[in-house]
Amino acid sequence: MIDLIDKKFMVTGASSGIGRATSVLLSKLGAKIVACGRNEQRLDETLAQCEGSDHIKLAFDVRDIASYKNIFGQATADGRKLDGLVYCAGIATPTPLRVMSEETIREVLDVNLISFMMMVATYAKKPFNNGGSIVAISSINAHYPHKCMSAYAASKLALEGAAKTLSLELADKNIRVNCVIAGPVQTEMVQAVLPTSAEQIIRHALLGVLEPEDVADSIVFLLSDASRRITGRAMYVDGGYLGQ
Amino acid sequence: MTDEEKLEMLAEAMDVDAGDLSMEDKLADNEAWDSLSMLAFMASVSSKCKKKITPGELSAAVTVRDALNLI
Repeated sequence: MIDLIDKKFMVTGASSGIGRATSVLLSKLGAKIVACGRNEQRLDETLAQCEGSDHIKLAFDVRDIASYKNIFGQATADGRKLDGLVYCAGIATPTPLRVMSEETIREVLDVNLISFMMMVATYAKKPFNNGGSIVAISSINAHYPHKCMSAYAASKLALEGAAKTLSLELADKNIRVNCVIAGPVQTEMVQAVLPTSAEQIIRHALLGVLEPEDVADSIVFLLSDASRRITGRAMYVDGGYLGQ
Repeated sequence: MTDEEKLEMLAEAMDVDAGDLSMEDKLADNEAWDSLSMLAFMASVSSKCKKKITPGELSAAVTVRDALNLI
């Protein structure tokens, strides 16, 4: 049984999907949540599903990197530092090459990669952490490409590369960094993909399409002491997607 | 955005010349109108016009004019 009582975790992208499921599960295991996302109302909905009290809600856009010091300051203003960070914020913009723009590529990289790296840099500052564990969400799309997802796939591969490298830099601070490579999950982001593509994705999953809670289980494992000797790794949670 | 600009956007998504399209053309009759073109058109409208078109809305478009009216 994983016990996260008295632990405190920041979750970005907590307003829906994997981020929401992770927040809810962490709270059920006794942790205090710092739920982050752009939409305050949806963050309220997430916290309404969480157990326990004294959770913190911080509404901001992860692209606003200048705000990070203030955000982490608010997250730790109660005197309790963070024990982990879950980076679930992400965007997927299906875009065929024929209409690809520099703006689209930069937007995807901003949210999926650059903000992650800068958030880790802020988390790693002494005032904000007790060491702990950082988990970033990658995608099966980075390893099993689909048409029109070039920017997204590139951003997620880059995310995994960054996480592995950062794990080397942060080991001395007792901070672990890992990724979860999520397979096809029933989230709003996946449902936004064209139905035909979604059907192809679903056919490849040996164990069926995942629910956000399936991915949350593995995230919580990587946040917990049960994975205390695991860092710099990427764990597939893909329902057997790559097994075919 | 003018009709000419909208037509140019659709033509780019279909990877054809704008001059090859006319307002009353039926999309289904054009070989270039496929799922990739539809996705490209939705992505372009989202990026350049900040407007979301759903696959269902676009599938219901019969003519070029119908598609452009979604912008």
